[in-house]
Amino acid sequence: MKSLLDLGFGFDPFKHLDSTRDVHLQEYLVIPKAVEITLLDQPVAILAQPGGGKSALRIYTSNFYTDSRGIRFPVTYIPDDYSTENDFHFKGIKKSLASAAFMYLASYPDLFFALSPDGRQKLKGLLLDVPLGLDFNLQALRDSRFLSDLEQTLGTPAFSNLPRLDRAHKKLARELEEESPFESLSLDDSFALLNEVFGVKSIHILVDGLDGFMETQSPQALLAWIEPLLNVLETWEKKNIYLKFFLPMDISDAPALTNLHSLRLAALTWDDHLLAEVIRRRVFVASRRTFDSLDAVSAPDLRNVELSLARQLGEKEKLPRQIILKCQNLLHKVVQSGRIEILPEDLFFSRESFYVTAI
Amino acid sequence: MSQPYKIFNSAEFTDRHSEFERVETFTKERNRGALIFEGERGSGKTTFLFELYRRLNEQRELRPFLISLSPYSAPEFESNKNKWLNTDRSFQKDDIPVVLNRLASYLEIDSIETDDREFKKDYFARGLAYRSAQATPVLLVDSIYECPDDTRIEFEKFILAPILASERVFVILSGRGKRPIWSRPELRDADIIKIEPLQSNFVIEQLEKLNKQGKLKRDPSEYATIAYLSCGYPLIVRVMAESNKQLLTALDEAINIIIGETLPEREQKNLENIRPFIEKLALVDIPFRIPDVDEYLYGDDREPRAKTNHLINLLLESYLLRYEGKGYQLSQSIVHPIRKWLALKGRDSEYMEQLQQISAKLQEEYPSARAWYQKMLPAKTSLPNTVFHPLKASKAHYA
Repeated sequence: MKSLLDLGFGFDPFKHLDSTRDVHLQEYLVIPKAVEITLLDQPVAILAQPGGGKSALRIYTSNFYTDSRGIRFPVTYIPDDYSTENDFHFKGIKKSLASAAFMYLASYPDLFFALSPDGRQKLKGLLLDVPLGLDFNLQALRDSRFLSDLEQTLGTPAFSNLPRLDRAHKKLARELEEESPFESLSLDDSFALLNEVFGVKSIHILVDGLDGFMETQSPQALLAWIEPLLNVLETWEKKNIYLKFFLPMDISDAPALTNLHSLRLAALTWDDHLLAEVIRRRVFVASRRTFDSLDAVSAPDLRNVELSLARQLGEKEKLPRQIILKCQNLLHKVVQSGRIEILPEDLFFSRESFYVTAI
Repeated sequence: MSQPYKIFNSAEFTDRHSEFERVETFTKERNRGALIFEGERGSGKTTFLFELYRRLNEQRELRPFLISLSPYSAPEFESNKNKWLNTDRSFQKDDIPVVLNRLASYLEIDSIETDDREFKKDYFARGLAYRSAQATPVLLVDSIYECPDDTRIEFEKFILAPILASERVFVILSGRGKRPIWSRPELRDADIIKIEPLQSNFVIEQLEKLNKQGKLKRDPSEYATIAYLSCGYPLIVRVMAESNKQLLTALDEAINIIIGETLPEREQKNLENIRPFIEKLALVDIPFRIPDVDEYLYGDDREPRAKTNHLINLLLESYLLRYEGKGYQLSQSIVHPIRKWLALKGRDSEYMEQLQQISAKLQEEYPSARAWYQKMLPAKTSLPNTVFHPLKASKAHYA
């Protein structure tokens, strides 16, 4: 039985249809020009179909900011509930902010020890809002051996690459536990605190996970739900706090969005060439920079294999998730046939495309 | 270090006005960004970057810092604190803390105090991102494409990404071979400048200039031939001009240097065995795939595919080969000098005949790709008469 190794791949670059599980995402994500504005210091809304790459772009954006070592501070806010309360989102953002701040401290534990007593107390006040409670988070900090363990337990990315958790982390857990908290902080105070104690210059709040909402509610209901956030865009922008929405395409024409001058909109759309590039980048990384086209593992008379695959997708299928699935099927067939080469008939087979809905 | 071509000497630098102008415009018109100089092996990227570093050191408003990921020597920068050079070995992941330490000290960065030595790397990287000094850092990194992927990824994570978080910063890189996929958008969208081979008349002018300075011992009548045979690649020019052997032998040596030093250490002693296959590949005029050339390379062998795979992997590892569009392509700084050398030695006819047969076979086997495989053979290398005379006359011209 052949495997992808025989074709020259170090790993399967088409394994994950769900980008949140793909550890190589940062290495091969294709970012269409139109949505590069996501990384700018301004409020933006990225609109795409389910499977169109919103979450992948959100993760890339978050990683981009964490790579700045938090000087541009990312906060990922994915509403996990529904409520019509006016401050529902703000409470949610505060929890996410607290979680990110906790992970920042775990990433640079010695930072805490250099803070003023006032700074420590305020920080403790902020951390009281962490999801699952501060006690649980502190216990996780004590129990984890590596930052990756902590990331996995708390579901928040780290800001550094410390090789392991050390006595500084134990000390941090102890001192945080013993510290008396400042009175509860407002969200605005919490933003200011990050600047004061961490030296953060801007905060980027990434709002994602709203596709599911559209399955049960109308576009108008979604817009009404996020309206409190849209109302604070300009005020927050003046404080270098930028909201970045990852929204379903269905609301792209809504005046509530298009009439907002401070919000830049961009559609995350794909054509055949971009989809072919999605494949090429993955092939390049997975083959350890040996080749960047499936042509390299195809019969000599097959050319532009990835472009052919992209062209075979129906109009509504022209999405990264679909082309990844198509490649997955194609390579699976080749490997199962015990060959190390893609033949013209494999490409013909892949016309029997498998369409998947949102995962 | 015994190889003179791996020692930077600003006095011998072959000027590249337009490239310097590009850098000057870039740093004057922008606040931040990345520039990447790409070129073939021996095209002069390293020398250019070192000379750029020397010039940037003279500008008060900029804070250049040079990192060479390949072994190189620059005695004239010996006292400079703002560099990381190693004359004997390539850069490794373990060198990152040392570089960060030097960068932090040079850029006057305060980082978080810690008792744990293993945390320092991350704290320095954070300090780099939070840097608040007035002067603009310019980080120059040589041979970034050629280092192993895991080293490059670590380098990007700990050095490039944090420094690029600053509002005013320039990153200038150089590399050969296939462009890596960067994680940072600034690097993905970097301005790319190609370092092309030098024009023939320019090579001659430079050789004459060096001759007047008393730095060359070759007869000036040979300069045109050197310019022609080197195809304008400065490394080949330098090796040929400094050699005391006949021109053809000097070219042979230069080709060996250009190939040999890029091979992994374990294979360097096999250069003599590997070179004939590289010579054969140099004649393939289309981007090729392994099944296209295995019979041409190892037709008499029992395992032509396995041997071709091995050779291709070796050349990829040496960054002398890259996959580009439709297949693998050998570095042009090897292809053209080798074609000339083969033609002068009269060895190309035999290889061309074999290639002709393979081309015909592939055309027959894959009729839909006939037009493609018809282009497999290069045009016959024609050698101008002006080349022959100095070649015949060429002897050791050293005093």
